[in-house]
Amino acid sequence: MIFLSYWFWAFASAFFALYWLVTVSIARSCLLLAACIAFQLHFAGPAGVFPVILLGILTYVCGRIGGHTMTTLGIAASVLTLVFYKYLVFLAESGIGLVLPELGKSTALAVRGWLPEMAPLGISFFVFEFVHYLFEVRKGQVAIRSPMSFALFGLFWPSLVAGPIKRYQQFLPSLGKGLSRVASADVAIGILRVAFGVLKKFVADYLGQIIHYWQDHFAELSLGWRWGLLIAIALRILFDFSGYSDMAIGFAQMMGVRLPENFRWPYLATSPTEFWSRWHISLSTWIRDYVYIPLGGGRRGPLRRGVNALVAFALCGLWHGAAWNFALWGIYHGLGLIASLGIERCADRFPVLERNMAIRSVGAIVGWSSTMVFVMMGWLLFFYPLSTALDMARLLLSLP
Amino acid sequence: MRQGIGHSTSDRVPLIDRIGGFLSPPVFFCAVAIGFLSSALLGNRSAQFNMFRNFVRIHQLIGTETLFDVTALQIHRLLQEVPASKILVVVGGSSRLNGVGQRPQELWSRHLQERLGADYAVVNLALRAGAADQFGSHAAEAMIKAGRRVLYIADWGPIGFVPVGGQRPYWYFFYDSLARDLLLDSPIRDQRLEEFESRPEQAVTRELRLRSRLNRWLYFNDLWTYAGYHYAFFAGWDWLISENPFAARSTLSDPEQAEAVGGFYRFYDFEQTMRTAALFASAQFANSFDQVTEWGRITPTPLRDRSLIVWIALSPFYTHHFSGEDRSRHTDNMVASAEALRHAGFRSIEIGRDWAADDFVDLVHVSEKGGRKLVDVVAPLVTQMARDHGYIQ
Repeated sequence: MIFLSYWFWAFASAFFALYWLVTVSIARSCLLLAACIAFQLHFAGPAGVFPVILLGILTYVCGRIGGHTMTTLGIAASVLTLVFYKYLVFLAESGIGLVLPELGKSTALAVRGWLPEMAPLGISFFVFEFVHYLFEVRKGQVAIRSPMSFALFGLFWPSLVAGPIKRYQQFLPSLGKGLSRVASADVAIGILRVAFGVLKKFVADYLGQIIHYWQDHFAELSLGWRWGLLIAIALRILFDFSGYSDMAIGFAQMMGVRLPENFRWPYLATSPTEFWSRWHISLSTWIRDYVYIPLGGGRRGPLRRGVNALVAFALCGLWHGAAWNFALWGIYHGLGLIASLGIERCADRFPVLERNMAIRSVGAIVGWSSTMVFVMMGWLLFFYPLSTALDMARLLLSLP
Repeated sequence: MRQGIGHSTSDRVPLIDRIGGFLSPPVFFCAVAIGFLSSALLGNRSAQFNMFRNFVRIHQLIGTETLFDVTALQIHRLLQEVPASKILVVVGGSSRLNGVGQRPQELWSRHLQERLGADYAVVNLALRAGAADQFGSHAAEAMIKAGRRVLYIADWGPIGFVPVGGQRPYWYFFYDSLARDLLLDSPIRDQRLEEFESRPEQAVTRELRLRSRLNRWLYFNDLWTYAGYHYAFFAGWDWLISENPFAARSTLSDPEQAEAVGGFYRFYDFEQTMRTAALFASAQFANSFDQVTEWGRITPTPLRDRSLIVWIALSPFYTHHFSGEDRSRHTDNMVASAEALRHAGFRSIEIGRDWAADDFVDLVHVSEKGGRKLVDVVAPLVTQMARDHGYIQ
């Protein structure tokens, strides 16, 4: 709820007033950097800022030195930081705990003792952006020279809370434009976008209150209302997440900076493949570019392609949280994607189907409805423990 | 080529950009500025007069429980509507004095009004899960500051007292009153507040204070609540309003319409209630001496002098089943706590130990019959206090 806090609105009002008042590019850079640090310090505290600054310095140095070894070292440091803060307890509980439950429990308890109460704010986003940066430098892209530019890329406050995950090749030129001149049209569209984002968040919170109450009475609901509640769950996550993205994109646009789009009407998708081209786009493209393709992508035969997709989606699921239900949600989508690609491939063998308007329309309707059922059932795995999710799915399908 | 995941669609122009393409930025900025200022002005206007219609008490459907936070200024306007010639009797405290279990037409505070007569105006601001040091006490304080003749009655609820600050549901009202400069000066309270807010874990409290400060100038909470009360409410959903989630709150009637006579609730999970009763009997008053002394310190003297704190015993239906040890602890604690209140400068009385089971509707709440008994005890004390303060001869 960072963007909906009163502190944030006071901060944003002061920041934008100054940002628009100051017209010199370097002064704007300094102001933006100071605001980014103030933002991070306020919401994460000094203990949350310190690891991020250390990791940022390391990433910058590794990028500047370049070369396979240094960039690999930087990527490893980033990944280990993420594992340390976000997944260590999970690994102790689920890894060691799987074989030796007692040892797993005691290790998890000990790990909880070392770790700070909360992971540094936005650590997943920092790590993903740093890995992207080092990966691109390793592939031969030009490293960022200016420490100021790198700091602004890493700490840019609008995208700190919930993304979108930026790409430095697109972000820095856009930032440069924004620092030198802000068009009034950008400010207007940015404000409009923020307003839409806030509205979505209100709707999401409203739905959240309904869901929170009725999920405990799921079995008592009629079949129609159960499906109604499932639709509410699906809409709530869309509005909540895309509302945040809209606000982030809007705030950036008010500075004259373009952030990548994160959602494009995902519930209009007619297949799981299309869904992932519309849902959390900056994450799915990141997973594609830095997990799926390096694993071999679709280049090593259908079996390997399937395995790669499953690994990529399991990681995508775990990114959302350190728990098995997230991993299962990812694998569920991976399987859906493999099935969807299989069906598309079969359909490609019958071009006559593609040419027939009626068949195409029926195919689109069937594709859309089955995708929506698939995606909505998936949200049960995402939000609830496996046993609860299965119980709810059983009730939705009126199974005994 | 299909890669399976994450086809980029970023080349498409988002709908919002296309809508924005039709905007004329200067017109848009003017509209935003006018809209913002108009909202603040409307909020200001709405807070200039009493918004309530036929106010009896703050029932569930116009309270924080259903996400409806009446502002300090709105309550202040309600109290200001009482003619200055009358002695204002503000009732605060918990659900016991709010009258849970009593129908609006048989509410104990209505009977208190009848008993006291036309020279007095009784306004019930007690709240479910409220406490003596919240909401009603701040509303009464504001009226004392405004120069009115005020008396404050509250009960020491089972929740007890939390030092200044805290995150209990009605603390927003304190910050709201503070930001609007409605409260009396209390340097020691300011000091306690500063100490409390400086704790790192009190980010929520600091946020509450900031909200109140912004609201002082922009009136967004006043506007929102006013619109919700008279027109429609969009802030949130709660199962209590699930049948009519968008209705104007003024159209929703007090849910306590059925007579909850003694014994109506009492058989509900007897064992659980007995455990709660034993807990209340002992833990409720633990350390109360220190708590009450602290409350006495931070309460401005004019309010403290005009306060009557009522201790109501637990229902004998349950205390009858207490062990001898629990029963005597219950009695000892009540007596000691009332004494602590007197020591801290409050007028205090403990009642109900000789009441019957049907004077209560459950473990703690007083029935309509018990309400009459409450009036019998409180009314003479109120008159006495009015006399002591020179409000009447």
